[in-house]
Amino acid sequence: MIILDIKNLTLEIESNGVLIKALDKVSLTVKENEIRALVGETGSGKSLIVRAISGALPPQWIVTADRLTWRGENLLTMKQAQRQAIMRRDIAVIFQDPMAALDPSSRLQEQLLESVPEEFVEGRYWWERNRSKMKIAKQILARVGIENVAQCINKYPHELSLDICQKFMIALALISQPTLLIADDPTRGMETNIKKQILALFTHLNKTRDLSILFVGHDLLAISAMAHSMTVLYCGQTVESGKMKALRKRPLHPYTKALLDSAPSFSPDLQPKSRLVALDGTIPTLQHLPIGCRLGPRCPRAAKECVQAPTERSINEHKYRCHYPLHLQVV
Amino acid sequence: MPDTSLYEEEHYPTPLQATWSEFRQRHVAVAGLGILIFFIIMAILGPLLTPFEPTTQHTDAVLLPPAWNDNGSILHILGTDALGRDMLTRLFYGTQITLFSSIITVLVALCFGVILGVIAGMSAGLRSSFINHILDILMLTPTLLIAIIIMAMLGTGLTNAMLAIGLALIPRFVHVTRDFVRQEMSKDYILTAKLDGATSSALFIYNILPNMVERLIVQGTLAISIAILDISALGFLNLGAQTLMPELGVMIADALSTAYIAPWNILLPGLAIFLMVLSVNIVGDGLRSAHRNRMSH
Amino acid sequence: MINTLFRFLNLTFITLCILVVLSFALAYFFPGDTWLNLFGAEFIQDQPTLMLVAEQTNVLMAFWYYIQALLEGEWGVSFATGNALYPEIMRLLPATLELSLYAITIALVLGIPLGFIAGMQYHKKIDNIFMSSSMVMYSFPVFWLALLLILIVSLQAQWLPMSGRLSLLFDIPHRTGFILLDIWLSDVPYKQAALYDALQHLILPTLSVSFIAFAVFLRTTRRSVADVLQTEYIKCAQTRGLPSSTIFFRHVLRNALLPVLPLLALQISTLMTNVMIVETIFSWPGIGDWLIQAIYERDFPAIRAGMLLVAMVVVVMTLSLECLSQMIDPTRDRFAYARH
Repeated sequence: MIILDIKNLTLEIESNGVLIKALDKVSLTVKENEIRALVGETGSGKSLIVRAISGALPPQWIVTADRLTWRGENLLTMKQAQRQAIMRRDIAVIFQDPMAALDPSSRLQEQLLESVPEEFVEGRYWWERNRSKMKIAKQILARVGIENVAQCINKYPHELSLDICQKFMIALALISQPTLLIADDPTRGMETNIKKQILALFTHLNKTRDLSILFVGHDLLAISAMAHSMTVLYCGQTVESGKMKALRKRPLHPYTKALLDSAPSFSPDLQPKSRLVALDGTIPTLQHLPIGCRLGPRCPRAAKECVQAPTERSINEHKYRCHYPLHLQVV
Repeated sequence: MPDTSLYEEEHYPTPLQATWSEFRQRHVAVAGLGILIFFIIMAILGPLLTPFEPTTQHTDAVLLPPAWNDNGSILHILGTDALGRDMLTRLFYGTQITLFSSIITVLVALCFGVILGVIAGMSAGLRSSFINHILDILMLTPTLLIAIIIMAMLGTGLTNAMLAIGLALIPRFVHVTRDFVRQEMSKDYILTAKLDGATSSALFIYNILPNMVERLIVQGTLAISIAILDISALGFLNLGAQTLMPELGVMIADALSTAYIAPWNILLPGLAIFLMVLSVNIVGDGLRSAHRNRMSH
Repeated sequence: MINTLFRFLNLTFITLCILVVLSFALAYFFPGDTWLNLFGAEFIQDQPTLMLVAEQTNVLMAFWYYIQALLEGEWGVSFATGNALYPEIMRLLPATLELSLYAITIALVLGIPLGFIAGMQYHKKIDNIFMSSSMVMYSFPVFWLALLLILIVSLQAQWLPMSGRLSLLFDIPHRTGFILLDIWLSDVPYKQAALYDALQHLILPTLSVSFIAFAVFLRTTRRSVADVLQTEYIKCAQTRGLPSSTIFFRHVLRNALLPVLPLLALQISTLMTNVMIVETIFSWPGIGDWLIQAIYERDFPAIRAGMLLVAMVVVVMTLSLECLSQMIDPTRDRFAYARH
């Protein structure tokens, strides 16, 4: 069952009198118990999507969408209070830099305790309620894998290391028992072993607690092992989306193929001094967006038709937007 | 000729230009700048335009109210003081003295402060901590105290007042410079320049100073407003400019004895000081906001 | 925390030492005979042998005698009045302290909450009103403001008195030096009237000084609040759906006030300058007025003693405020930990 459904989401902002489309008809769905990866280069607008879902966009942005629904309810038209309630209980967001996301002048304990939703707390008097909150907090912290809980919980964020802070942020997100966890590049700048721990935690949570995860990032190697389905984003346009296995085996869009190829493979039969595979050029800036398909200038298969934005086609739930997908011959 | 340029030229403004265009968008700041320019023009050109001298006493027109009052005369538009000296003329000369002495003081304090700050920021260890201690004490003592000490040592007068205020302002510039230099020295672009073989002075002139100019301008406008207030306060207390000079603070002090009968003698010079300081503050605040907006884009 | 306390004590001690050295050195720089400057004529007459010894020994011995004299309470003798300086300045200091204390309190109590309101309503109408009015307020020259208040309130409307601390009709014995406290502690029959009269005398001077301080405090607090509201953790807290009262009282309040305290400590010296100027205008019998009279009369020992005292008071107050703010700040060690 689909819980988060986004169709043709467009985000526009005015710059120097011209309306620029930062996100152009982005479509994305998340099903129950699914880990969906949202992959794209820096500057492709991934964080914008996260902010559009959580409603944290500054007021200058103009948001239009055919569908932006949570469990069938339209997020754009519902009342502010209801949307905030959804954000508080059902959707949880984890951000990039855990140190910046925590209040530097209060201990972890206080920050955790104040996030416990009132519905889970038992007891009538405040000391009973505090004790119940502490119990819930300690349980969650143990579940995310923080070892000496008693020691860490009394410290300030700047006294702890990055991975403990990130695990703490995950605990903070989980404490309200959400249905969907949106992780906005949570493992940026982490060493590989810590990255593995966090990703293993996500997989574990998905399997045992029926948690759907929308994982936004750009590290294909790590994500492809973990995700069930993937959406590839380029410069504000979704280029391909579908099940992970299908994408890996047979990518249909040139960009997806380039992404998959660019992940370095350290296989023993790699020729010495062989070139690393990458697309020429860089991602265009917002001021100089190409018309039509935005990969046009860089795509090796581009032709005259690519000046018009391709429509979405699908083969068995494997959706793509390309005039010349890889399974068709280019004349 | 048809326009054959296929590629748009991207015009990226320099940081100073960007700050200026941000500044221009705030109308209040531009209005403040206008008032300030008006005062500067008044200070430069005013003394050339007035018919009277600031020290001539018109004994037949003593304590005349301004021209819009019934007893006033159009000959002395803003009235005269207790000794019959024309108020408008004195205001022009007074603005000149107060404004220019403040600007000179701030410029000198800026130069010394930047040099000291650079020494303190680029060096470490005992030398810098000694400088820091002395400067912290200078910054903590009230400016009036420093002025009193200088007066006691060197006597009263406008130049001594300027010296005292300059001494009190130096620590501000030192702080700004030192903090900025320390911050930048740990950045990578300085490291790159050092690896390229830049000497310390070259580092400062070509790398750090251009980035610091904006901050110095903002601090400088703040310092000008403080200098105007302090120099006129010292003039009022007769510790700075003495009674013969048409300095704005001195004019207010002179008018105290006739305050009840002729309040405009206190109101007008004070209004001039107030408007000058207000315009400098508006401009400084506008510059600070413009700088902050530019940094956040 | 103990470390911060040690550092503060160390810093204060060094600063006081430097101040004492400066006040000793000034005896050489001020015009007039050095020994007369240092010890005052009366002291010299009482201790002729000490003078002979001092004149023959070098500067360091003289400095040592000077420190001894300071610690004993012998701060020299005034040229103008011939009285011992130390008792006189100690009598006058509480008046200045009282005025500055009331002014700071009013500025804090009004400035910080209004600064919070302005910061929360960043760039909206209330914020713009506060910003423009506070800018006008702190552009006032303090002496002109005091004179305007006297002209309008005392002379024109005759509501409040224009000089002094207490009407001459009342005779309150000097106990602590703080006029309101003294009236409270004394047992004169006209206590109520005296209190009322003292308050009337207090209003205008306090208003002149706190007017400007209030504007500065409001702007500083508002800038800090606006900065805190832009930070990542507040935005995360809002995304998490925490109620805004929790966000405000738990996170915004603490994080906005912590950087503001050291900035407010720096305002103490400007406040002191303004207090001294206002004292001359209102003939308020405090240290500032006395010092300025001393310089009119070229009374060098008085100037040195007064300068030492005022500098010491300001330095101790500022440094202790900074120390306090550092001690209660949990993020003080933030930069001691390694960056990730």
